[in-house]
Amino acid sequence: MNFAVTPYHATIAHILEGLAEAIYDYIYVRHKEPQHIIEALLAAGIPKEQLIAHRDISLVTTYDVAGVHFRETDCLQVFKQQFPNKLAGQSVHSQEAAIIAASQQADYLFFGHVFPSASKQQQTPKGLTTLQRVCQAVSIPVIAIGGMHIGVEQQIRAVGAHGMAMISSIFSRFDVLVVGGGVMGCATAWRLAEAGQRVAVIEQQTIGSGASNAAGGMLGAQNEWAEENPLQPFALEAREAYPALQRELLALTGIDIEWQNAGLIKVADTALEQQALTTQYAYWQQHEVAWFDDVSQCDAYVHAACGLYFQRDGQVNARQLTEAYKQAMLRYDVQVFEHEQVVDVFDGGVRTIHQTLFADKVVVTTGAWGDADCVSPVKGECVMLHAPDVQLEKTIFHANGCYIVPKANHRFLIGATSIANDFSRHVTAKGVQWLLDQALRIVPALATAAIVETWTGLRPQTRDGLPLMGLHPTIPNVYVHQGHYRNGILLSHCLSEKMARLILGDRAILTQVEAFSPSRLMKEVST
Amino acid sequence: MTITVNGHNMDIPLSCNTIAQLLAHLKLKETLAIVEQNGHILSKKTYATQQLHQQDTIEIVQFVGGG
Repeated sequence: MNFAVTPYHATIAHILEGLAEAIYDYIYVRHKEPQHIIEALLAAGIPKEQLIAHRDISLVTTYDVAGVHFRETDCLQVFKQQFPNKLAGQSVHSQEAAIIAASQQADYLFFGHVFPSASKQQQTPKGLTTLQRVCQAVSIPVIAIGGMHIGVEQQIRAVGAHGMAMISSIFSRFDVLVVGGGVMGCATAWRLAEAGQRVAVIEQQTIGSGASNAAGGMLGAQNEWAEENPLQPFALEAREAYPALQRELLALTGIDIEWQNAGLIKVADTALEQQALTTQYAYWQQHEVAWFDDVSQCDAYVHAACGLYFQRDGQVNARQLTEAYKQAMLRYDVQVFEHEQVVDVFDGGVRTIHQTLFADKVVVTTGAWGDADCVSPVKGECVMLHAPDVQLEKTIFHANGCYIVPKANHRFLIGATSIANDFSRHVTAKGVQWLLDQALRIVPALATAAIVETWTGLRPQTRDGLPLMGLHPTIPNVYVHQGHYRNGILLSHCLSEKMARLILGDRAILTQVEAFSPSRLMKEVST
Repeated sequence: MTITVNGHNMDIPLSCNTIAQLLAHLKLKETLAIVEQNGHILSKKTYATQQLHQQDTIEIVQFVGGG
């Protein structure tokens, strides 16, 4: 005995759209204009025997609907006397109220809210155990309400309930839920919404607050690797797509992602570091890379023993990119829930602390958050300097991991330390000390620069260093798209576009990204 | 045994006898590391067989990029 409960302010078009995909026995018309909705439903061919009105007995007289549903404090006796053959339902919120309603000849009860529900975010849900006690206390049908959907029907019936009353799972469905609002989630949501999907992004804190807003923004498609790697072809493709991406995002959102292409010099000092550069140079075989024994010949600002100049590894402003993805997805009506932590992902939706959201598909883009066995954070600290007299334009990347990325308005982004398995967000003194020691050694002209900002980011690292991209190994209709470690910014658009196409039905993508299959790391673990 | 890695003294388990085992112990990928043992840069091919000794001075440079 399942009920579809209409949202109070919904249009008839929205109501009919939801009903078309749903399975129900009754429609409980709880609405600000009940007569209008009842007439429209009847006109659409829905039989009056499926309709339940809200509290107003005259609607039975006028439309001969199946029954009336009452509030906990209402008295049913007048209605039962006048219409003994019609259904009288009542909402109750406790075992005591259930017993009273049953004694007043109610034909069925709504009890809830059982699970977290959008309609009752401020109150604690009652849970299955209380539902079971209510079902045991009365002999009339008890219908569960609050966070109900087809996926929990078995659990509900197992504790003795006769059915469910559903609102959101019928009338507030999305096509895709995106869990995690970093560059991967936002870029994927943008392309899905652009293709006509109804999308929501659910973010535990604020958009970009994990790694995305902290990144240096380097498009190091060549700098990142000195050997074959399955990510490399995607990295090169992604890097080349950036000028077009900048134009597209600028036109769509007005935001300039500040793509720069002055190239990147990788520098080394010790014999060991020089060996690393030699190896990397040999791998790239002079393809768009030049060796410098005297780095000052490549750039007068840089002091180092030797260097590799990758002329095509450019950079972007990561915060502008994140904001541009966000505005792009808002442009296509993506709904954004911030400060909402998802606690459960299932086939058909997600549950947060406050509510349950329903969709045909879910994609998990949670970055450093997930099963600790598969993905873990590598904390990085950064410093932003301001030096109006330094004309450095190239990115400088030292073999020891310190980098200097010139940004707009005479700023220089110095990054980054690496602290494994650390979720903390404070910047440490020794982190800043190391960053500045390195930066000033490599570019001494920065000594008089002003320190304008320090921050942290949490890089998402997987157990084997390759991202997770594809189908969830155990939960149907759930996709995974996370773990891009040091190359999230570079890969964000290219891989998210492929993820969107996969979600839209292009299964050929799975073969392309086979090396990143989630099942290779996730096994039987869910979420 | 006790060795020095990148300037830090480190106690490593007895089961760490080779460079390859040391890298595994430090959770570093072999292919992404260049190793110097007592001033000599090692060839990657020898990581699996090259023995570690008490008081060895080891320097490791990891390939990193991106950010």
